[in-house]
Amino acid sequence: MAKKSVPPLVGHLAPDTVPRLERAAGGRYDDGVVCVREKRPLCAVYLFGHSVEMCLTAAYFRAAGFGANTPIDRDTRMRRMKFARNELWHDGEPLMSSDPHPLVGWARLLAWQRSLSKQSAKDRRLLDDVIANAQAVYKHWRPELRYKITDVKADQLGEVLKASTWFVEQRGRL
Amino acid sequence: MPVIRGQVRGRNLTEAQRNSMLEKLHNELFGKPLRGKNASENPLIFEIPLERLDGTADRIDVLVVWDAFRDVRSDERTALILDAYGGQAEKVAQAMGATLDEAMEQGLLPYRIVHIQWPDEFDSAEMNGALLDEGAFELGGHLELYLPTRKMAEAALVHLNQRVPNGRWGIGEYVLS
Repeated sequence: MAKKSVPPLVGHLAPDTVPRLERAAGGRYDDGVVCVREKRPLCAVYLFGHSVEMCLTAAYFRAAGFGANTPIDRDTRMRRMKFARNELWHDGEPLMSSDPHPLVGWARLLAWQRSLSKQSAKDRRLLDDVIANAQAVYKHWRPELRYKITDVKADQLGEVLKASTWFVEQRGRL
Repeated sequence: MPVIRGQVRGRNLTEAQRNSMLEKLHNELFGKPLRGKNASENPLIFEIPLERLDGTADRIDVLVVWDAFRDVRSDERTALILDAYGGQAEKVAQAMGATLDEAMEQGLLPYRIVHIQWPDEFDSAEMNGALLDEGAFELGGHLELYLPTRKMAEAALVHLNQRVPNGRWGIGEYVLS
């Protein structure tokens, strides 16, 4: 009997959209929680960081008017990041640094995008919290963690877990 | 230790400069755009449709490559582009202006249409005409076709293959390190 060939997983990945990014953010967060329970803190931090990145990018693209069925392809994402690296914020610094996975940059870009519309004091406080929580995660997280062997202290994991939980709970509201 | 403060860079355009740039942008958008222009003199305008999954699109990103933007602040560039669109500005999701050097250095036009041609194999006027129709511009004394998205490059490739079959057209992608 002929052996059935296994189709490639990467052959049926759907394009990113705002809802799919938010679902994936929840999925990576849940995976991170499993790692915490299994006493795999480095893996947990790694996954939490990516979860936050997806929460932030989904929030930004929603704020930028991307509908639920508008794909966010690589060229579009890169173009928006390049824009953010040229646009100065009120502190005189570019919205986004040249880091390849700039969590704080995505938070600042989201805040900038939101600032183009009228905002209440509550909206502004929420965006301040977005930036503060992004900073809390980025203090400890880089994608390069995937290549590293290192101990993670309990308070380091605690900071990342707290901020990541906040982002996942705020999905759809940012 | 001395405090080193970053300075907000960018010149302020005079009203006359702004109006002149606005007029050129408006003419490129709604008048008769020049073919084969170079970015030192005229704006190269790339409209990138933000397509939904069903292929429809009602909004675009706009990239304008123009050396007149040199030293102009990013927000001023965006404002100029949106002003040039006038009543159609609401369809623009994002407007970004860059000089040609910036566009190349930052990878804003990462897809380059290339072709291999033996001497005398094709009429160079036909080749150049085909490239110009796809939006080629002058760069370093040659006609070049750089595009901001793979989809636009693939669409250009289809047209070029129809115009000049056997032109051995291809897409080169430039990835920033």
